[in-house]
Amino acid sequence: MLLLIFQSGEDRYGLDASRIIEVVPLASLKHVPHAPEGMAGLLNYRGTIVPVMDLSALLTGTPSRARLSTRIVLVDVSPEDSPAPRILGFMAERVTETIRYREQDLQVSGVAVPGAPYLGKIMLDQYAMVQRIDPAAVIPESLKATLFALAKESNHD
Amino acid sequence: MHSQQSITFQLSLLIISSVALIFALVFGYNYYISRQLVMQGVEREAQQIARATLKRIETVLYSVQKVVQGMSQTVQNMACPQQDLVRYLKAVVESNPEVYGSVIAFEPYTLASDVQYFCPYYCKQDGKLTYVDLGNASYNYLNWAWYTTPKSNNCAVWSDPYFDEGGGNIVLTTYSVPFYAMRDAGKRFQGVVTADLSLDWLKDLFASIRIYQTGYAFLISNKGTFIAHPDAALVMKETIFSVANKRKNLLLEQVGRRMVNGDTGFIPMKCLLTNKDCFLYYAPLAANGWSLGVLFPRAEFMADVNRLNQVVLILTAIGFFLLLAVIILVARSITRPLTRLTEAAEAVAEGRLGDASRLAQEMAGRAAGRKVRNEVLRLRQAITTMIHSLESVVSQMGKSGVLVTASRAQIDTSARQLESAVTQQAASINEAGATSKEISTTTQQLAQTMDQVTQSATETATLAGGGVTSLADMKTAVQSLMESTPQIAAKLGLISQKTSNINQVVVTIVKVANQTNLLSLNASIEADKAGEYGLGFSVVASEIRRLADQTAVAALDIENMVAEMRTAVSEGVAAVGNYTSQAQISSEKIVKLSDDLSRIIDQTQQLSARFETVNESMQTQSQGARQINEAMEQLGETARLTHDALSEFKKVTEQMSDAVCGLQSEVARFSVRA
Amino acid sequence: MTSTENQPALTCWKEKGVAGDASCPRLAEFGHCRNCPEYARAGRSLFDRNIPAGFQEEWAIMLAGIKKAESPGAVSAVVFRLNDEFLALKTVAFLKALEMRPIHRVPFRTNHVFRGVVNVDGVLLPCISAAELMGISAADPSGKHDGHQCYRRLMVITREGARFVFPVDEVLGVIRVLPNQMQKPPETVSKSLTALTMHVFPWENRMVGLLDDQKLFTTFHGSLTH
Repeated sequence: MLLLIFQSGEDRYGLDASRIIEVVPLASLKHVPHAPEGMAGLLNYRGTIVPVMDLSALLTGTPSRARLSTRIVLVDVSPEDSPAPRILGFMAERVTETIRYREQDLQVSGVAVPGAPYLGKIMLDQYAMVQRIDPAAVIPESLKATLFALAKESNHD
Repeated sequence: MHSQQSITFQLSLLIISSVALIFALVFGYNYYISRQLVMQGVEREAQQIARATLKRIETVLYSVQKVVQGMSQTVQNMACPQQDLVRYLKAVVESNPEVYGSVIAFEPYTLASDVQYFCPYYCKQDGKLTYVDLGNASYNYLNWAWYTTPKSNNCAVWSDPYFDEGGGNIVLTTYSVPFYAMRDAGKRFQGVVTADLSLDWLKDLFASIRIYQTGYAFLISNKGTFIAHPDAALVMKETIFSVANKRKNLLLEQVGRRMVNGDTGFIPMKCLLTNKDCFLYYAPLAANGWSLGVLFPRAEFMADVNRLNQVVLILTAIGFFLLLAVIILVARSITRPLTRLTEAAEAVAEGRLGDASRLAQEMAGRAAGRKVRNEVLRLRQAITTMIHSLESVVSQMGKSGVLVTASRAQIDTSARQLESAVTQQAASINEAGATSKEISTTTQQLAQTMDQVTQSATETATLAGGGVTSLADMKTAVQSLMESTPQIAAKLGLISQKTSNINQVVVTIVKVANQTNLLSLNASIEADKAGEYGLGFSVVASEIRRLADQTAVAALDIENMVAEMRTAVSEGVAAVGNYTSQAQISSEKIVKLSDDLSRIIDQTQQLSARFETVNESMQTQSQGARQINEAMEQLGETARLTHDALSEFKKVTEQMSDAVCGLQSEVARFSVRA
Repeated sequence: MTSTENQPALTCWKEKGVAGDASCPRLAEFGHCRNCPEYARAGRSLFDRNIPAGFQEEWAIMLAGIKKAESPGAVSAVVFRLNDEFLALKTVAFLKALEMRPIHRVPFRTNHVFRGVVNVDGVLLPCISAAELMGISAADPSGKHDGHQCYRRLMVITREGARFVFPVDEVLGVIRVLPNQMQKPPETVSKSLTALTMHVFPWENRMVGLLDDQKLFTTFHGSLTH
């Protein structure tokens, strides 16, 4: 199993690689007026308009800084056995490494945060703790619908 | 009297010593030759004594040998019963007076198959014929030397002399002969026959050998044991080697070895009894290898020669005394008139001319009555004439001495007056000289000081001149430095610009590394999705990520180096700027300093000229003073010379005065006959 | 370029690492600073720099680019160079490219075509001089080509279980060639080369010869049996 590591504030998190389509550099995004909180903008990804969420803003409330290591992770968030992929972009800081792990390396955090069902188990690597995040669960389904609607709108523009 | 003694002594010494030398040579040669002759005689005599003695001993030994050899022949050929053998043995012992005892011994079981031991023995114990059967296990003759030695050597053997154990203090020696049974192809050892020989008769034999007073003969065995010797303590108890060992006598040991070896010789050595000087003649006994020694005491055989020598020496001494008396008489008759003349001459020497004259006349009177010898007469006449001449000279000199003394006093007075006048003159001249010398010295010192001042001024001018030149050089250098600083700055600026370019490159590298990192992430994700098949690819992906990291580190290094370089460059630029402004200020200061120095030079040069003038006048002054001084010195020299001449004159008159005084006192010694 | 991080840039490898006095205690653990996480972190800290001007816009355009649909019949090929000849081989026959490594001579067998054997992942594979087989002269030993530095590689190829190694002067990459790009090989190339060349196609203003992998393997096998 593979985790794509990123950093938010001082903490490190891992995205499960199995749903990731591609990691791309921080390209300029189209801003959306009155966008939902945590949304960075829209990205034209190979002809598809993809909504991009700022993970840093979502997790710590501070938007990601414009760095070389700040990247956009494109994740397939479509439900299981859905024929067409629904792609969502996650902007995150320090996306520069991956970690290979086994399921038994993970430990339950022991704290269930209400309203943050995406926070998963915790593992230790040589630097510090890494908390697994389920990218599909970061965005509530309702917000997802809004986002994709926005994207579709832009696509038809 | 001394001279007389001397002549007599010398004469006697000379004659006596020559005669003594001749006598010593003749005496020495005579002694040497006669000693040689005596020695030859002694050696011959020793040989004869030795041969005679050896012959006597050997005669006995041979007779015993013959007896035993005859027995062995008989036993060997005679196959007879035991009783016959015993009877035969008894007959042999009885009929041969020199045989003390005899044995016939058989090897076990050779005489008869049932007889193990057979060994009958007859001996003349205390003059009585005694039979002993030694054929028993307790005696076991088979192990005794008299049996085993001939058996193993296969020949007849004389044993070493030994004390007979049973028959009292009799020294015996045994002659053992083996006999054989002739069988088939050869002979087989069957037994031994022996005969004991008493050596008592040797004692008498050796006692009968008389050589001078203390000389003697001795006999030693093969092993060096004394068989016969005047000292009974040595006989059969000591060997020649043990004696040599006790006395630490190496020579004796060597002699012993030669004797045991069967050598013959004639050598000097010390007597074993008296420790006197001896000559030893030694020769071996042919029959059994014993050795005979004959000792000749040296003092004794040389006694005649020595006695003759003593007589000759006494006669010689008497002759010498007679000779000495004759020499002294002759010498005295020559030296007596000479003594008288000597007395006269001594009187002249002491100034007693009167006594001398009287002595001479006495001698003439005495001689007139005698037969005159030429040399002494002429000597006496000459001395008489000499005494007369001396008398007249002495009276003349006494008169003229008085006159000389008077004139010498006059000269002395006038010379003393002249001397005091000259001394005064010299003193005043010295004073004047010293004064002028002081002037001259002071002037010279002043001139020297002026010289030094002038020199210092000149040096200052030179130094200042050098300083001006150096400053001019410095100014040029500073100016060229100022000109080149903008160039340096420009070059540093160029470096700065180039480093900016490098930074651009670094930015690109960072971008590439970043992109590589991103690609590696995607690769890892793709590999993960591929599951099993993507494992290899995932390794590649992490390798690529590592490479990206390394590239980034390299970029970081370059950046840091560039930053350091830029800091260094900007520091350099600042330093150059700073230096340039300082150089500007220095340049202005140099110009000012150069002007100041030039002024100093001008002034110093003017000062120098003025010093020259002063110096010249000083020189003139100094020269004048020096000339005065020289003149004064010349004058002083003249005065000193005069004074010296006077002193010389005075000294001469004093010497003359001394001479006259001496003459007068000498003359006064001679008491001229009135 | 300004660092956005306040912490000082890590340069420990220059002080106590391989570029310094080698006193770092972790050097024994990792063998070389390259393997140390601190080193990787220092490298990655560089990516924390601000984005250069125009970077985002550039990437926005690049990401918007429509992905070209795969044309049917396209052939993936590895392009490499032997001296002045640019050649290609189907990627399916290509196993990997290696850095140059020692070619061990085989006594009495090594000749100008069969160069010896090469250790590839613990297996000794025969090394064939493809240039010699195709009559291509040796390249400039300095490694320069058209003024840029190139690196000689060992190409490992495989087909039906057989594997060979052959040295090339440069491996230029994997490209896709469309069927309509393929042309008949001209007669000008050398005889032996012509025999092995299936097609030629244009690539970066020059013509590249696509080798017939089946014939190539047959030729390689043949060179072994001599």
